[in-house]
Amino acid sequence: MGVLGSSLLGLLISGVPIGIALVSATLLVIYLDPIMTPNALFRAFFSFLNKYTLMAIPFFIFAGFLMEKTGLIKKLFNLADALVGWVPGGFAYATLIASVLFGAISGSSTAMAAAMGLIAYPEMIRRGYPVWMAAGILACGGGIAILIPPSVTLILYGILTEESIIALFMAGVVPGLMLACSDAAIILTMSFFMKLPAGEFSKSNLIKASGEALPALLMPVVVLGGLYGGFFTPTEAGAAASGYALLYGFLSGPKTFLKELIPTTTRAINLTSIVFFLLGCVGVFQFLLANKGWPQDIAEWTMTLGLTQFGFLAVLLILLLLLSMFLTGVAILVLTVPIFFPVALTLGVDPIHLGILTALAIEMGAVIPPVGLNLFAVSGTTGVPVTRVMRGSFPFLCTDSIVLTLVLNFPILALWLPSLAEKPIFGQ
Amino acid sequence: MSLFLETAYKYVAWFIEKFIGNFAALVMFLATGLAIVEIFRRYILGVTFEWGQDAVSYFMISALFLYFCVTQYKRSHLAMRAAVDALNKKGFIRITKSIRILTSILTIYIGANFAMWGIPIVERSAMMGRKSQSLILDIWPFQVCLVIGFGLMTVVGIFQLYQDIQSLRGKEVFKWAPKEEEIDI
Repeated sequence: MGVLGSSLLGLLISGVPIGIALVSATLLVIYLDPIMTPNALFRAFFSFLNKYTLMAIPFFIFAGFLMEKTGLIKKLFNLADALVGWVPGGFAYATLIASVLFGAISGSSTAMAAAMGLIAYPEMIRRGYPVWMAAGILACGGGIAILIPPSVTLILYGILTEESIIALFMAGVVPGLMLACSDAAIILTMSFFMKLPAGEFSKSNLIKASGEALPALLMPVVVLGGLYGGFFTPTEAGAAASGYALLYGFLSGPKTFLKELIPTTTRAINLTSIVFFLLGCVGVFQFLLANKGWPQDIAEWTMTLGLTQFGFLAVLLILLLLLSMFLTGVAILVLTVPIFFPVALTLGVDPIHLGILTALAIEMGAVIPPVGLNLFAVSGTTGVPVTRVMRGSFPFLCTDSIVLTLVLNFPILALWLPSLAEKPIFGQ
Repeated sequence: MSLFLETAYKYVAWFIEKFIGNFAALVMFLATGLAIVEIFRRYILGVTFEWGQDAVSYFMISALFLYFCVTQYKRSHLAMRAAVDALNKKGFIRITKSIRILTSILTIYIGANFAMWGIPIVERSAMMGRKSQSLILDIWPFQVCLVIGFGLMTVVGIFQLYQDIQSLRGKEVFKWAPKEEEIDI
């Protein structure tokens, strides 16, 4: 185990791609073992990826990119602006609402931060918001997408742990809304002290924006309604989202859409291929762990430490937050879940609660320097220096940590909605 | 020698990016299309293809397997670059270039080995007539895609190793080839 850990750590720090580092460390252990042979690794890689549930990831990624290309995000944003743009600091609330709505479509935090950076930032500056604040809202608003279903992070967690993805999606709703509300509270405080500008309310504008955003608003209805209504599996929901976005794009402007279709598909396959290569390598890594029985050894060792559930979760969250300073969310998930999940189960931690806590920690990590991807995504799209984006994100990071603490201490916040789904509706 | 390698890599790059990349994207698009058709058939017409789910999964992963070489060509596999970037900023350029060489060597080693381990498995699957879960689709063509993906990844890795060694020697080759791609996930 020492050889595996030290070689993996060394390779990761050296900047070797994570998948290559995982397989290299696995191979080293296999070569040192007189019984094991590496030939089975090809099959482990292949078998780990040929699951129908995994196909939800490419479908949701494709749907998110299609929605971005067809301009549906901008329409969602216009609706949010028409709804709340007239109150002091209203445009900042509109950005948050649009982030939550888009989160219900794309599931990618960084994609959302980048998309919002392009759409909302110029308007915020034009309306007189401070640069640091505008950039901070965009970076943190994006993080909400990790918890609002459908979330690629939660799909991955569900696949790695073989937990119900639908239960995870449900569990993410309340913490996701709590994040949005806590961010709104920060904006409210700022608008009070900084006298943030307000727009003008226009009823006709609201009606027009609602009409234009209707196709975008129907998308979560189709996807989430299908999922929670028990009609769709997560994979089917992803395919339905892609189908909806394709249909909308084709109907709204066939010529432009067909021109954009090839680059959009290429963009989607590029991102998916990176995720799947990493997942295949995790399959190889898990093959080794399972053969050696190391997760059980770690679990038994953890039990000897006398850690309570709360103690374990607190240590785990600190570790995840530390890791998130250097690694992206997907990388953290695939590297840590195979190791800590069996330990958590042994300690009696609820796997759904654990998934939400992990996603929350990853969400916070997206705005923690030096790697915090959302910081760079917003900086890249807006041209604001990363240090100023960090300054703007700080107040939101503080409230995010309060939400994390609340969900850690009160698991019911995550588990309430999934528990409702388990109850029969008509008392049967 | 240099001119020969330059020309060879250009052909390989064209084949990988234009042919394999576009072909994989097309397969992915068609797999998505099939999944959408299956939803329509299941919930509207009340019928499904027995091989529907298998075809979606296997064609999708085959597209992604083939695309591995394109992501390798773009050097876009996820890595933890904080330490390397810090070294670069401090001026330890030779160390970071040496690390790139190590990465390329490992990529070649792993890619080549997986391709080699895959060949007997493909042969065995074909000989035994191994099928997917629906017992309709043969598995070996999809395993071949993984072998091809790893094989082409190795070929790209060899050119990248040459590029990295030359870079350590202070020479810049394959100037047109993509540098590390910033990917946000």
